[in-house]
Amino acid sequence: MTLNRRSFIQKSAAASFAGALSLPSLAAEQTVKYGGSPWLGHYPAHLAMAEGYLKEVGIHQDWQSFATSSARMSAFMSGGVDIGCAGIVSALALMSRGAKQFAIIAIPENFGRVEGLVARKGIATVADLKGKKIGVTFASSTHLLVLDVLEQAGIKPGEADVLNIPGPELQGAIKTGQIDAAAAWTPHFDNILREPGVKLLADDSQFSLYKSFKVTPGPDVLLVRREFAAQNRELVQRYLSAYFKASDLLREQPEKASQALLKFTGLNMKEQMSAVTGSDWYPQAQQKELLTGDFVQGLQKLAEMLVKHKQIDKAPVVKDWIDASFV
Amino acid sequence: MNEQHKRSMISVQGIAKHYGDFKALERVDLEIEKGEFVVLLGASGCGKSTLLNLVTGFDKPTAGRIVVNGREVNKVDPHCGMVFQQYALFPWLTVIDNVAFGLKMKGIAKAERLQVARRFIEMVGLKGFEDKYPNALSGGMRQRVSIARVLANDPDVILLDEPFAALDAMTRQVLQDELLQIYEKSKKTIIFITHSIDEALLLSTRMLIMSARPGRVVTDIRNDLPMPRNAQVQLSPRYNELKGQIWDTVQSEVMRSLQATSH
Amino acid sequence: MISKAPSRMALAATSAASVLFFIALWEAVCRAGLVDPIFLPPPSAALGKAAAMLGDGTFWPHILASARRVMIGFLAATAVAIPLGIFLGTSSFARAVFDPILSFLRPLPSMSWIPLSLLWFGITETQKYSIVFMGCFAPAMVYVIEATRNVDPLLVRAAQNLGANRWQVMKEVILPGSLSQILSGFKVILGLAWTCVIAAELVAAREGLGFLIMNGKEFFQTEVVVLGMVLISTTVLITDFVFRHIENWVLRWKQ
Repeated sequence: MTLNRRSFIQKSAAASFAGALSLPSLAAEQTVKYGGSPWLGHYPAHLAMAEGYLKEVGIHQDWQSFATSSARMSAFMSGGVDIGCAGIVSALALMSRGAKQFAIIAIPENFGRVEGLVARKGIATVADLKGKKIGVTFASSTHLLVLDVLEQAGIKPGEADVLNIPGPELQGAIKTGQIDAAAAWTPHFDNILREPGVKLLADDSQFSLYKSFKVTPGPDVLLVRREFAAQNRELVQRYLSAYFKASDLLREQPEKASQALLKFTGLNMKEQMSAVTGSDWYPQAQQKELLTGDFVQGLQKLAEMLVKHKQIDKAPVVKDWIDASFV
Repeated sequence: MNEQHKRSMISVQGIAKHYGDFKALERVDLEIEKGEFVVLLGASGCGKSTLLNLVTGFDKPTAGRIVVNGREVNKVDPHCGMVFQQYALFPWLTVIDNVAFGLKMKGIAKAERLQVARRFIEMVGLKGFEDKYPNALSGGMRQRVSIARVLANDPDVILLDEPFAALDAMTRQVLQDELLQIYEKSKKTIIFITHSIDEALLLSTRMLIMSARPGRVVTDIRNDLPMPRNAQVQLSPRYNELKGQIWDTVQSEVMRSLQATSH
Repeated sequence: MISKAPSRMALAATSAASVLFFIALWEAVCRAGLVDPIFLPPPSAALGKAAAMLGDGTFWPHILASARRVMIGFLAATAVAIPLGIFLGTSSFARAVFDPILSFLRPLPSMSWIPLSLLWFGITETQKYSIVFMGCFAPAMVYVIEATRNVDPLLVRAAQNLGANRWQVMKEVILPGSLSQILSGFKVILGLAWTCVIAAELVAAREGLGFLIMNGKEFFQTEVVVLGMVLISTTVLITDFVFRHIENWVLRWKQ
C-alpha cells in the first residue's frame, strides 16, 4: 500500500489524538516527600499510604526515614522533606533561631500515656529521687518531663543526677541497677515497665502544662515546608483529606488500623493496640480550634518552660508559625 | 676428637654451607690456635664472610661442625666477638654505654661495668669521648668504639669483617697500628677478613687464601715477617716475595672464577 | 639571581595571616546576610558562646573532660601496644596467630563498640576510655609492628653477639631502635583518639566537647557545634606541639 502524504498526515493526527486522550491518566500522581519513622505520630501518614487513601487523591508519597526529630528538622531546612510530623521541641529550637522554612498546619494526636518516668524497687515517689541517678535521652520530650516533675517535687538542679542515655540503652541500664530511674517513650517505655519490681512514677498526665493546657512535654505537630506549600496549595489540601481519613480509621477502627501497622512498627498486636488506643487522634473538624485556641497558648508556655530549663535561648512567638489555612 | 683438635682455639671440621645449588663453602677443614692472627684473604664471594658467620653462630652449617674453645657452636655466642664493617653501634647509647653493653647483658652492676668500659675506651684512644653519641663521631672513631665494645666483653676470639674498608687510607693506617698493639697486649685469637694483600701482610701471623665456586681454602701461608711490621719490614725483600706468592695465587683464582661466570 | 627560600618566621607569619583572613571573610559573609545564620554561624557567635561559657565556668570543664578521656584511652592503648607490638614484630609465629584478629579489629569505627562496651563497663567513665582505647589500639599495633621490623637487623646481631638473650634484645635494642618510628606514628594515633571523642561521649556524659557538639546539634545551636569543633582542633594542635617536644627530648641522640 502506498503511503501518500495525505494519508500519512491523517493517520498521524489520529494516532496523536488517541495518545492525547490517554495522557490525563498518566499525569495523575504528584509526589510528596514525607519524613517519618515508626513513632506513633506518623501512623496517619503511613496508613494514608498503606490503605490507598493518598493514591485515591492522586498523590504518591515518598517516605524518608529519620531516627530523630532533629535530623528530620534538618531535612526540612534543606528541602529534603516536604511534609512530616515532628516533636515540637526540635521545631521550637529552630523557631527560636528564627528559621522560617516551615509552618505548623495540623495537630495529629495527643499521646498522654505512652511515655513516662519509671523507677526501680524501693523508690515510691518522685521526691525519693533526690540524690539518685535518672537516665533519659537529652533534648527529648521525656527530658523535659523529668525536669518538670523534679521541679514539681521540689528537687533542685544538681540534687539528682540526670544522665544522657539513648533510648535503646535505658532498659539495660535500669535492669542492671546503673540508674535508679529511667524516662522513656514507647516501645522502650513498655519494655522497662515489664521489668519486675519497677514502678511508674509519672507519665505525661503529671506534666504541669498538661493539667492546664492539655499539652504534653513534646506534642507532635504536622509541619509543611513553606515554599512547597506556597507552590502546591491544592495538593496540600488533598493530602490532608487523605491524612485525616487515616486519623479517623485510627480513632474509630483501632483494630483494623493496628493490623495494618504491625509490619511497619514491628510491635506485637497488644502493644500496637495500646499505642493506637492510648492516643487521642484529632479529627479534621477539631483542627481549627486546636490551631487557634488554648492549645497554641500551651505550646507557647512549653517554649517558655524550655527557656527556663535552659534548653533553648529564647522563646519564639509560636503563633507566627501556625498556618490554619489548609484545614 | 684427636690431639690436634684438642689444642686448637677454633676447630673447623668438614664445614660446608649451601644455599640451594650455590656452594658458598665446601670441604673446609682448619685449626686455629690460641693467639694466632689469621687473615682470610680472597675476592668477593669466596665465602670469607660466610665462614665468619658460621664461627659466630649467626648461621648454621649445611654439614660439619665448628668447635670454639672446646664448645661446639650451635647458637650465637659472645665468646666470639664480632666487629662489623658498618660499626653496628647503638645510636641511642653514648660511647660508654655502647662499650659497656655486653657487660650489662651479663648482669654486671652499673658502676663496675662503666669502670671497665672506661679502661677500654682509653685503650682505643678515645678518652674524653665517653658521653658522646655515635653520630657525633667520625668513621674511624666509631670503629674504635666498636673494637672497644668487643674487647670489653673479653671474648676468646675476635672476628673482624673488613673493619677498615670504609675508612680513608690515613685513618686505616692508624687503626691497623692500634689493632696490632691491642693484639700484642691482649694476646687474643683474631680472625680478620680483607681483600687487601698489603693489609694481610701487615697484620697476620697466618694467611688463608680463599677461592670461590665452591668456597674453600686454597692456600695456607705462615707469615714469618718480624714484628713490629715497620716501614723497613714493609720494604724488605721477604715482604715482596710473600706478596708475589700471594698475588699469583689470588690472580689465578680470580681469573678462574671470572671464567666460571662468563658462560 | 637565585631566590632565597622564605625564612621560618616569614612562613609562620603567612600561616597566621591566612587564618585571620579566612576568619574575617567568614565573618563578613555572615554579616552581609548572604547565608542564614542557622546554616553558617559567624565566628563572632562562636566566640560569644565561648565567652559566655568562660563566664559561667563551663568552658574548661568541657575541654578537660574530653582531654582526660582521650588521653587515658590513648595512653592505655599505647601502653599495651608497645610491648605487645614489639613481641609480635619479633615473632613470625605470634604474628600468624594475631594478625587475623588485628585485621578484623582495625577497620571497626569506634562507634560500633558502644553497645558492647556499655554491657561490659556500664555507664561509667571506664566505658568512655574503652571507646577511645578500641579506636586506637589496632592502628597503634600496626605502627609498632612496622617500626619493630624496620630496626636494623645488624644491630640485633651485634646485640646477640654481645650476649643479649631474646628478651634483652627486645628491651635493649628493638624498643629503643623502633622508638623513633613509633613516636612519629603515635602523633597520628593521638589525632585518631580525638576522633573517637564524640562516640565516647554519646552515652551518659554531662560535659565534654563531643557532648557539646551533639547536644548543640539537637537544639540547632550551630555556633555551639562550630565552637566544639574549633576547640577539638585547637586542643589537638596544642597536644601535638607538646608531643613534638617530648619526642625531641626522647630522641635527643639524633641531633
